[in-house]
Order: sequence, then structure tokens, then C-alpha cells
Amino acid sequence: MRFLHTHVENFKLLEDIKLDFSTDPAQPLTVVRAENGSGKTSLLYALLWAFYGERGLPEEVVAGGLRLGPAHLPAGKAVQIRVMVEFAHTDENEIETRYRLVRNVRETAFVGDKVERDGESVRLLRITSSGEDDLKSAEALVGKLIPLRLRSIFFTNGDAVQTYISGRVSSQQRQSQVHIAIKTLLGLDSLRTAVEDIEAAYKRLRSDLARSGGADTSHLEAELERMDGDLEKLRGEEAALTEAVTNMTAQRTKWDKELSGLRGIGDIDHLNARIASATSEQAGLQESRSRVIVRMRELVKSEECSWAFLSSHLENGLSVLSDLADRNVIPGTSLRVLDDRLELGVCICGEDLTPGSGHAQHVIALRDEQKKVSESQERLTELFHGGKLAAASAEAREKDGTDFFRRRADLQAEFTHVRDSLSTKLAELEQLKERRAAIDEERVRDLTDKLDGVAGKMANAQTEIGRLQSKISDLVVRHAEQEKALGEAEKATKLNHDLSVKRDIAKQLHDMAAGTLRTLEGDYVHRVSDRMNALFMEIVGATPEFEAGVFRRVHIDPDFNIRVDTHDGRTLDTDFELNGASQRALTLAFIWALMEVSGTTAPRIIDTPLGMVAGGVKTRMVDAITSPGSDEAPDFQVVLLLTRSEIRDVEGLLDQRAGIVRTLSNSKDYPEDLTYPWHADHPLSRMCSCNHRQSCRICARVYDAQHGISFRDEEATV
Amino acid sequence: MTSTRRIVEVAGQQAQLLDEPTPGFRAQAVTTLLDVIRLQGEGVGPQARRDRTLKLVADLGTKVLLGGGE
Repeated sequence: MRFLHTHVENFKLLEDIKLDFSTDPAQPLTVVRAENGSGKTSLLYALLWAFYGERGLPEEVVAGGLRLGPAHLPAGKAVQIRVMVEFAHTDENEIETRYRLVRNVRETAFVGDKVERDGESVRLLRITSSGEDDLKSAEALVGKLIPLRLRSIFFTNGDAVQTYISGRVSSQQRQSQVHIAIKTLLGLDSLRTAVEDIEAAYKRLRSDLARSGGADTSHLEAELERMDGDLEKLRGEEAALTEAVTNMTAQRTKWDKELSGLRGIGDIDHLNARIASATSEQAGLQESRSRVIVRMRELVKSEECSWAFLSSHLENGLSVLSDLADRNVIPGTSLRVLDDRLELGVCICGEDLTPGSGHAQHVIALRDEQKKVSESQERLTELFHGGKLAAASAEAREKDGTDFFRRRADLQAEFTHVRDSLSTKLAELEQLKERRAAIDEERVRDLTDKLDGVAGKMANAQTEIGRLQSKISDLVVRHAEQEKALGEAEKATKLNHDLSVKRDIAKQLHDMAAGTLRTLEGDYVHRVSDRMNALFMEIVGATPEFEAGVFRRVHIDPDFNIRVDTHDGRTLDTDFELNGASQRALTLAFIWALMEVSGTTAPRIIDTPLGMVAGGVKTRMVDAITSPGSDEAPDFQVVLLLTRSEIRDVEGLLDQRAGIVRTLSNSKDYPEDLTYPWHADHPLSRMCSCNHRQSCRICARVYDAQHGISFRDEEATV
Repeated sequence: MTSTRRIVEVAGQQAQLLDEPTPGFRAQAVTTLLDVIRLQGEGVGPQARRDRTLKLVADLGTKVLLGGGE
């Protein structure tokens, strides 16, 4: 099959994109140059959708709420999406037929990502010199020409390129994908079905023959037939269970991945415990802060505070008071003497101080006058002694480091520490709560339950498979004995000669067909393996004889695993021990080897294949996957969807190998990246005829000079 | 090389391991195998396909009974 032309309308950003594919055997490469977000992947999906409908699109894209039409359309507005692909197919008799495949659907998007599609139709038209024939069963014919299960061979996304080698899928899935790809592309499925059909014919003839021989042979044959039936049933059960285990493994991998993703954010129980602990710590810190504030208030109200701020005035006052004390002004003593004399009734001078006497009156008047002076003296005395004590306390506090300023500094430091700790704790708490909010708690529990459930089911299924295999093994032995017994009985009986010959011929035919199948399976796998090895070594620049190198060989083992052997006798883990470039090289080498060995001429369309590849590996990879056909490798097409960075350093190879190069750009990139505005009222992608060395008013980008791209003023309008 | 051609080549080698009850039997066996494979492309159901396979196999037997001719 070769792609001739495609026309994409209203698929994502691709409103009206037409692309011719190179069909020149000498230049088998078509390049679509496009930067990120310009529509490369949309173009890949548009082609997948045209051939297979939604079934062809990646599961995660469909599961994520698929919208095929342009995103800018307002809710409720319907759009007609249409993808047309013209292609040519050459049959076994070397007759080429041209076809036009057209898939249409009407899509209406509503608020909240809800999308409705109706009126999907797919038409396959055979183009002849006299017109077009509308073929019935378009989907079935497409499925035969380019099988859905091989879509990852024909349509490859650079990021998903490791499907056949990477642990992103389970080992069983990988083996199954490699096996399916080999069987389907090499036509072994049809041979296997033929072997089964011939076996059925043989059994039928054997049964007819036995019946012609009378009761004995008939009875033995009936028993043999029953055993055949039992064997078929048991093998069917075993195959179904094995498939179920494969599906469960795939499902478990998917759930595991999702759960790991959720747990990457944090385990919910662990997070809850941390939130509880942080909340308690936050409350403790808040209490500490309150206590520090109370202590600060008390300090401000304290004598130390006054002393700290009024010490110079207090010291002056104390000095005055000391002076008064020195001059015996304080404390005053005459008032007590006068009171004593009045009480005794006799003055110091001997005069009578009997109450009512004139002397007594005089002394009382003197005492009252003295009393007024004494109150002041008393107050001064108290101040003097209090002041002395306060000064002594202040001095003592200063000595032992508990003065106001020191205490204030300590409290301030304590407050700052508590305040900062609280702030940190609050931030931590908020972060923990955000992480908890990001976890769909219910989904985590649901996934955990499902994983527990599937693990149990898988264990049961494995046990059952073991039991079935044991029964099959027993039955095979009994079947052989029964066949022998039937052979003996036949010898002793007169059989229908014609039937006997036909049965023997059927047996011979079956043996030949089964032998062919066995040989081809082994032979083809061997050839694919050898070719893959040669291509891989060529791309990564490895020499098997160079002992100091890493790679010794890559190969497909009997279980359909793709293996990478090293010089030191190890087998590398393709996920962790192969770099991204080597992973891509290995997968592409497998796909190319498979296509070459099977003689398949279907196009290979690869989105961003060189994303992680640079230097010599990049050049050799492009060289290997774009080399024109030869006797070993028949004509083929390859379509590479590349960014400017990927094109860098391989421009020369593209000059030689690319029959067609086009550029896809998106209006949203102006003015950051695109040099010229398109004046479009919504984001859309456009194709221009610029090749990898050119730019124009549609595709010119501000950094083109870095890539040595020259401007041409030919695509004047956009 | 297409897969059909490869099947013919390998089936031819496998046919050499068979008895040759009549002249041309081995080549006829290979042709019959290809005819059986082709039945899958004729869009008939599995039972009808098996019935037609039985007829193809029986016809090969008949050829042997007739000494290799038609």
C-alpha cells in the first residue's frame, strides 16, 4: 500500500489541510516540518481516524473525552469533520488498484467537555479508469489491507515508539504484540487457519473411514473423536484463560500505573497522619506565641521597664535623696519626741505638759506644725529606701543578665522563633492539604481494591491453567494410544479403499502444511531477528567484534521478547539500561526488519521520531529508515513528522531522500515564534510548500536563522 | 519476497518429505494448500470454508486414486 494524497477538514486544528505523499521509489520519504503544537500529532490521528475510526486512536485520548473538531468553536455549534485518504494497493498478482477512503462525522461540543457525534460514515471507493466504485464493507476491506492491530507498526508516535520493547506495557503484552506483528505481517495467520481446516478435513475422512469398517473401528473412532473434542475444549479453555491472564496483566499494569501516579502525590493515610501531626504542632506553636506575648506585656508593665527607660531620672532623684539623708533631713525624728513628751506630761525642759496646760497647748501646736513637715520627710525616706533597693535590684539584674533589655531581647528572639516556626508549619500544612486535595481518595481505595481482586483472580487462573495443562498432557497420551488401537483395528477390518486413500492423503497434506507453518515461524522470526540486529547495530554505530563496545547483538528470543545482549554476557533491561535514542533505534529497527522480511509496502508514518536522538545516531537512523528500496528491502514509503530541531544536521539526507517536504504551522505561535501575523480570528494550522531549508510569510519563525533557513517571499497570503 | 511466495517455497521443501504415490503429487499438494489458504479471502463462513477444504482434500485423494491425472 502506498499513500497518495490526504485532505483533512475540521479535524482538531487542521481546518483544511491537503498533503501529497511521495511515491517516488528513489525518494520514498515525505516530510512534514512542524513545531510543537502545530498539528503533527493531529495529522497522525486524522489518518488513524480515517482508517479505523475512534478504535484507531490511542486509548488515553479516547478516555480523556475525545473532541475531534476544532476547540475554538462555541458550545452548541456543529461541525462536519472529514478526512479523505487516497491510496494505492498492489495485490499478489502485482496489479495495482487505487482507492479513496472517506470518513465523515458531524460533531457538536457542549459546555463541560460534552461532545456528541452523529452520522459517522466511512466510504471506500475503488478508482478505475471508468469512474469510482463504492465498495461495500469498507471497514472490513480496510482492516484486511492495513489491519487495526498493526496500527502501531504503520502509525507510530515517537513518544510511544517503545511499545515493543519497553516496560510501559507488561512483558506478556510486549511478547504478544511482537508475536502478533510477526504473524500478521508475515501472513502466518492464514497459513495457521489453513492447517486447522485441513486437520478438520482429515478428521472427517478418518471418521467416515472408521464408520465404513464396522462396529469395532466405528466405536474406536467415536472414542477418538470424543478425545479430539475434549482436547479442543481443554485447549480452548487454556487459551481463553491465558488470554484472560494477559488482559488482567494489562489491566493490572494500567491500574498500577494510575495508583503509582496517585501515590506519587502521596499516600492518603500517610498524608492524613502528617496533616494531623502538623495541625497539633501548629496549635502548640500558637499557644507558645500567646505565652510569649503575655510575658512581653508583663515585662513592659514591670519596674525593670521603668528603670530601663527612666534610670537617669531615678538616679538623679536618688542622689538628691541621698544628699538629704546625708544632711539628716530625712529621716525626721522630732515628731516622735514631742508625742512621747505629751504622753509623759513632762517636757524635756521639765515644764508640766498636763493636757490643757499652756505648755501642753504650745507643744501640741508645735507637734501639729511638725507633723506637716514629717509627712514629706516620711515620703522622702520611703523613696530613698525604695530607690536604693530598686537601684540595687537593677544592678543585680544587670549583673546576672536579667535586666530589661536582655529580657526584652530574649523574648523578642523567642517570639521571632515561634512566629517563624508557626509560619513554616502553616505553609507545610497548607501544602499537605493541597496534596491531599489532589488525591482522589475514593479512586485510590477503588484501585487498591481492584488490584487486590485482580491479583487473586490471576493466581486462581494460573492454578487453573496448570490443571488444564496437566489434563491436556494426559489426554494427548491416551489419544496416541487410541489412534494406535484404531490403526490395529483397521488392519483387521475391510475398509473402504477410496476413503482410506483420501484419509491418508489428508494426513500427508496436513503434515506438509503444519511443517511449513513451523518452518516459517522459526525462519521468519530468525530473519526478522537478524535484520533487526543489523539495522540496530548500524544505527547505534556498534560493532559486534569490538569487545570494548556495549552491544553484542539484539535478537528475538523463542518467547518473542526482544533482547539486547552485551559483550560481558548480560542482557540489558531495555527500560533502564538503554538510553532513549537506543530505545527508538531498537523499535524502529524491529519495525523496519519486520516490514522488509514480510515484503510489506505499507507506509510508515512516524511522529517526532528523533526527539531524543542526536549526533551520529541521528544521521544513521534517518539514513537507515529512509534508504530507497532494494532486492532485500522492497519499495516503501516513510512519512516523518519533524520539528526544526529534529531536522537539524540531517538536512543533507532529507535533500536526497525526501520526494515531498511541506511545512505545517499554527497561527497561535505569533508573535512569540511566528514572524508574521496571519490575522486569523481563531487558532488554526496551515500547510505551506516550504521545504526544510525554506520559510515564507506563513511559516517563518523568529529563530529560523539559527537553523540556516532562508526566507522566500512566495507564499504571499495567508 | 511476498509471504505467499515464501509459503510456496517452504511448502515445496516440506512436500519433498512426503511419499509420491502418483507423479506430480507433491506439486498438487502444494497447490491444494494454496487453494485452501485462498478460501479465507472468499468471504465465506468458517463451516462453509471447512466444507470446501474437505472437498479440495478429497479431490487431491481422487487424483491419487486416478493415478495422478484429472
